Amino acid sequence: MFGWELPPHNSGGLGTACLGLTQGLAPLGVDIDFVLPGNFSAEDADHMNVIDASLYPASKSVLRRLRLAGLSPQQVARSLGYGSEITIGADGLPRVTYLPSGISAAPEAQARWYAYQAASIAKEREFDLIHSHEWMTYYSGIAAREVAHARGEETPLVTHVHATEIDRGGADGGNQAIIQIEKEGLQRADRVVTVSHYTKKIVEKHYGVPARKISVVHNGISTPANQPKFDLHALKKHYKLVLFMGRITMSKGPDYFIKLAKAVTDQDAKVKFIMVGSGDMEKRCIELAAQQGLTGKVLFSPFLRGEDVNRAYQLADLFIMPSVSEPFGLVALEAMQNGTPAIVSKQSGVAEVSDNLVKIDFWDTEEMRKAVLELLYSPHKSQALTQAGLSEMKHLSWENSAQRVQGIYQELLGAIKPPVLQPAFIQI
Amino acid sequence: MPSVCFYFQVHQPYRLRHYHLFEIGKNHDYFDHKANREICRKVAKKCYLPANALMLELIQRYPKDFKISYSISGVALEQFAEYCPEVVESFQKLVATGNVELLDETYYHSLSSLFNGEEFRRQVKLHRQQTKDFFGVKPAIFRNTELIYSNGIADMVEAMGYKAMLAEGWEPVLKGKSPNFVYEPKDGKGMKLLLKNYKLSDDIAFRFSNREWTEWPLSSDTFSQWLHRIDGSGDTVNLFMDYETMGEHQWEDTGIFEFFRALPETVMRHPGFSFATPSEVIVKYPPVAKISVPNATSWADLERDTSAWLGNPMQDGAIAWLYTFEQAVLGSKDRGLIHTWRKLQTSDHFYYMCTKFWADGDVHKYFSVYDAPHDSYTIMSNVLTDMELRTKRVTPARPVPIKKKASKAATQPLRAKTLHPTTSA
Repeated sequence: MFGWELPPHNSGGLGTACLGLTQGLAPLGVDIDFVLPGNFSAEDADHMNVIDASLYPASKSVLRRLRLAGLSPQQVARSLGYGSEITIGADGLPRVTYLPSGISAAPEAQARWYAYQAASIAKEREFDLIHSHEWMTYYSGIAAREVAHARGEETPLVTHVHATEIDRGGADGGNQAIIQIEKEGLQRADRVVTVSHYTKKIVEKHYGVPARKISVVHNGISTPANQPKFDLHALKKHYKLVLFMGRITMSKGPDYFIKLAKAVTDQDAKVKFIMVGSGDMEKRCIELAAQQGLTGKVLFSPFLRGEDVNRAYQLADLFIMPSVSEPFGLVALEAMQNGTPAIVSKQSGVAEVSDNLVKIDFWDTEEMRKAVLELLYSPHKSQALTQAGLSEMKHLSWENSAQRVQGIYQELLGAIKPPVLQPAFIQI
Repeated sequence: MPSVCFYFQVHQPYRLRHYHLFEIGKNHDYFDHKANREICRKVAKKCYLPANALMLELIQRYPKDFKISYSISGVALEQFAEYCPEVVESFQKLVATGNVELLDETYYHSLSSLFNGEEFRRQVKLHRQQTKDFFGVKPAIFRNTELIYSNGIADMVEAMGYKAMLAEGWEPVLKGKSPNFVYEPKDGKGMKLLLKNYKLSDDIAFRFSNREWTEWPLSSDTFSQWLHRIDGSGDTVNLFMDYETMGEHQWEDTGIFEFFRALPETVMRHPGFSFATPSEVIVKYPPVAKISVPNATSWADLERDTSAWLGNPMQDGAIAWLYTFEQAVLGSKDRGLIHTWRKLQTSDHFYYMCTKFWADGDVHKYFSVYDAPHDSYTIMSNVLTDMELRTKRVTPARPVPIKKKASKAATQPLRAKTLHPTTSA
């Protein structure tokens, strides 16, 4: 399996989803090699074999570059667009330490580097099936399949779409280089898994992948044995609190959250809005709030981790996910898990899996305003939603998602030869 | 016979820490004690102590001739007393020589003169009291936060009995007049106005170490010759600047201390020239004209207006909200709360929120302890939300039932009067 991040070194939902899915697959007898671009010391990853791709030899072209006069190994590493340091191994081949920050400066270079590493790894490992998560790993999947092919093995390739550049790019159309990588990866895959029907449609429409090649596997949510309860916060006693949590970037609709804050607080001074997250639109949103006269009405917190995430959900009386385009939207389920009802945009995958989310078009601020005030002031309705949501969530487990994925593996492997079950980079 | 009038601003704010919204209602301590202590000590070592030693040395060498003036903000002096008392002592020694004049300002180095006349006067009185307590003197001259000045502010200051006030010698205000004379405010009834010669002041304060500058390196000789040029066309050259220019903004290795050490001698090489304190200047020279400044000017940034602290929605939103707490805070009679509220008024907090991106952006960034103006704003928003809760709790009109049990037992809910929040003095 090729991934890009795992908690706690994750910037968003991708790492969480990869962890959840593999935790579901392992008990089903699936033996997983999980490749990461660097040594990110993943937590809770004992159920699989985590491989640090940067320990494998990089392309010899790096050596040529190193020989160029006057460039330090660091400078060469940085010039590659993905590295921070180069060392020469005992085999005389270069190793490039992956630089966790600075993604997408050169998407093509990064994807190609990862593909090269993937081929090096594939040569040393045996596997029945390859599973690639997100565009950064699509070339890697293809490269690994070619290595297997060269030794006479037919190895199906599954690419897993957690989000597309079309979602991220919004009206700007996204980064064309990334869209090209996505197109190639998705079209050359034997099967494409999307996290929602919503995303399936995008993959069909924008990436020219035929519907029969796409399977929908909704994300799950891990249910902690006992959800920690946090102290009722002083803020909560005095105000009604409405929460946004996520990357502050166009596709998440943070500006619609500010608009909503204006509409609601103009009418009800007891309500405060809280925006948790970091991202490229963070400053713009802060300025926008100030401009709208919302100083003191909208509070901000940078990206939170671990316990603090649950603390924020529990602090809120209501959660809003106003995404313009959201492949899944795990945050809405996490909110419910913490007993906080959620309003989500209709343009989201999570809207497909729960009947207990309030669904409104992201642009319909007026409808949202009404819903916010109604939910804030009718505790019975809020409670009913979260209660029902919680019981519904038992079916939204990663175990279920993993079973679906296992079914897809069996189908693909069965089409070739009798299955010895294992996905991902798999050892027999 | 012209005078050279030095005035140094001495100021350190109470910087806020990264107060997170989870702390609202639980933790009322907003300030970064560690950073404040470290910065005070660092600047004491680089600037205040060596600069004060140098000034004392110069006064001892020229006991009749070398004179300077300072205003020390109340919050700075408070922090010196706590973090580096030797700085307080060194200022006391300087004042005791009689060659050093202290000026009044607002205790909190605030923008209150622009928002709330009552609060402004209260803060000036606090500063006056502090100056008396620490130095045993009563200032006769006033200088407002960052030289913020307007006709209206001048009227308030004159009504408080000050004999003169300092302001920026900004061309649009001077309309062709020279800053090198004593002036009067537009509606003045005798109070004088001293205007900063910003070109010569900034040669020291900003350009001194700039290697791109054609005059670099600036020697005391050259600078004194520039001063001497005003002979016959001016009475006083007012050189007003941050005291931290010495050793902090301009590091020791730029030669700034040597520059000052040689300055008295080179200035007085011209027999007509001498040093004078602001009080001496207004006695020595009669005012030549009245100056009208309808809109506030200051010594900050290229615009010399109030746009360093006010004007963008974050600054305006935060400060407007801050001042709405006046009644609730003062009404609480909680000295810790009042002090905290006033420390939040210090102009630096709003300076950090400035988003002007050209030449001045760099200066703002230099002074800011935060990553971005937006951080300062969101931190201030969290702090003020906590303040909102605290003032809600202390307002007697709003009873807060403490326990359900209690309200069951008695028909009257328990009153909040005993519920004073812990204060962060």
